[in-house]
Amino acid sequence: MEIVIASGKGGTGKTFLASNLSIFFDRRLGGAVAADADVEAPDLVLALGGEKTIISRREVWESAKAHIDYSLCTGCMKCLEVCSFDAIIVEDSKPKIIEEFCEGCGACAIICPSKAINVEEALTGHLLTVESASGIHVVMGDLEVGGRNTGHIVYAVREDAKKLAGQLGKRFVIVDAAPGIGCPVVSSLSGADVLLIVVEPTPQSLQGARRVLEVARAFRLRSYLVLNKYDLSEEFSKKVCEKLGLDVLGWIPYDEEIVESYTMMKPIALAGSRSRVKSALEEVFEALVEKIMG
Amino acid sequence: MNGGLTKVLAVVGGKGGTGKTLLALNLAYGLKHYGKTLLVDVDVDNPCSRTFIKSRPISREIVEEFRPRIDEGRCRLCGLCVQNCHQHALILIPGKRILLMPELCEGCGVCRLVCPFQAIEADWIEAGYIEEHKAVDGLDAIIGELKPTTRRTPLMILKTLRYAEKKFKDYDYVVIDSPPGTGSGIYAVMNFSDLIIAVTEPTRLGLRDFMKLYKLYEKAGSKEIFAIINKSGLRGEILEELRKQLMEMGISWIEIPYDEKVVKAYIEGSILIEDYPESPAAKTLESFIRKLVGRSS
Repeated sequence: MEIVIASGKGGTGKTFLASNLSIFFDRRLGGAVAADADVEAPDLVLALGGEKTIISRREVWESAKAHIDYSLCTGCMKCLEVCSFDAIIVEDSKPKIIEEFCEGCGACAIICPSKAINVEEALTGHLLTVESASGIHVVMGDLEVGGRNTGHIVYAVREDAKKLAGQLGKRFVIVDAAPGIGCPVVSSLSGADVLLIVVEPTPQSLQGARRVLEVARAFRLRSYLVLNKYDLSEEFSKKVCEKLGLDVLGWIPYDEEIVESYTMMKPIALAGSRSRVKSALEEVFEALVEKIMG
Repeated sequence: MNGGLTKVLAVVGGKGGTGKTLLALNLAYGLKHYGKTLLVDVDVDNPCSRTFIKSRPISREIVEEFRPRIDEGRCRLCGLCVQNCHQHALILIPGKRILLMPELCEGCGVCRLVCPFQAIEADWIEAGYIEEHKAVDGLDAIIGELKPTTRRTPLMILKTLRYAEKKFKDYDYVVIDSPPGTGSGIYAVMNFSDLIIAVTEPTRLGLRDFMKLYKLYEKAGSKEIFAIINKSGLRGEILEELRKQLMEMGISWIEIPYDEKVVKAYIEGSILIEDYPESPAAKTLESFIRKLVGRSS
């Protein structure tokens, strides 16, 4: 079963929740593999205690870039007209492709009457499988800086995480999605089983959650809410729950203990002592288990 | 660009939730006392500046993207469109029809170019829009917004920046608020800016994402970078490690203490330096703004 954690707005606590839930699922219910689908800023392994062993690392070549052979280009600019990504500009009366904006679709190469454009494979990023210090296996995508085609890496991350879970005999894959609602998030939600939306009591986070929910509804994805840092404003927390109208799995307080757990590289789920954050996380886990098993 | 006089500042962050929007807004509100200022919000997945600025929209430009519509009367099921679709959004059901999976389609239009029978028509769907706001007692702003369920974030960022760029010359300062990340969209933001303000937080996650962002900054060849360490003073922070790193890289920075007032202002949708000018965070920002102004004159 694949459980995705998303939020719309950044910094609401996706990685925090994904890391701790992975540990609970792994220790208490059927085992779990963690998947980091925030390929532009992959941090999940840090929240799981850091890398212990890198099991595998491979390149993902799912991108392509168009190149112009200027000895053949006549400057007719037909390529510019068909580019849907605004990746071609005019420089010295010749077209110029800005690589970072090129999607690699090849429309320009097809239309070019002098066959001056070639589309060549390009590196999208890397895929790493890591055993974290907390014992959880993490599959993470790492996009090349300035890169695009994030969806391809996200699909590869999910695919590898599912395969690994199968090999290790683990029942759950916990996916830490990117902030936002764009390509990497759509690719994280499509075909998943359950979505947890992490929200904090701010108007900005409420708006983000609404936007993610809109995407989730298009996929008919079962969605639940987790309220994080609720004590920043209990009043607004209630409002957020009302406005989103989703089942709420739990309320987690804000505590500097969380920052500390990252610094110590010791996830709260593994802390020996009880704390209000740990109890709240356990409640979320139990409520989620009830929903998905019941 | 105002004879090169407009100063374009981009607030970027790598990691989400470090405080980009908060800082961008406060910088813009501070700068408008020194010159005409425009805020450009390209966090198109979740543009939040609207919850703070007091302004009214004066125009809205819809950004459309292509979707193929198969004219079954003309289609001979040759499958060329399917072979050329690099998103695998088209499926050939032999002897029957070509099927479009709309959630995979990126609207590149290649299918239409390769079809030998002109059997593909264009449908145009809304990918998002660009809205221009005129200040009431706040800021002029240009905001880009992606329509949920579509996925062309980098394109919406680029279109919003190019739209805004035409107006840059009317302003002394432009502040760009950007989405989290280190991909193509942030590369575009850096390309349009004179000064990159990277917001990070003193945690291991903040540090790692800052390093990835710096790699992008080097690739983009932007002019200048400055760091803001936000939310300092938290128990368990790695402030010393972060400071040391910045020092080694030769990057100047300021530190903004974690402050309940900051959070409160955020929830209320108020502007810290205007509504809580006495708070330590507001004071740090004020002096930073004065420094920026001194530098750009």
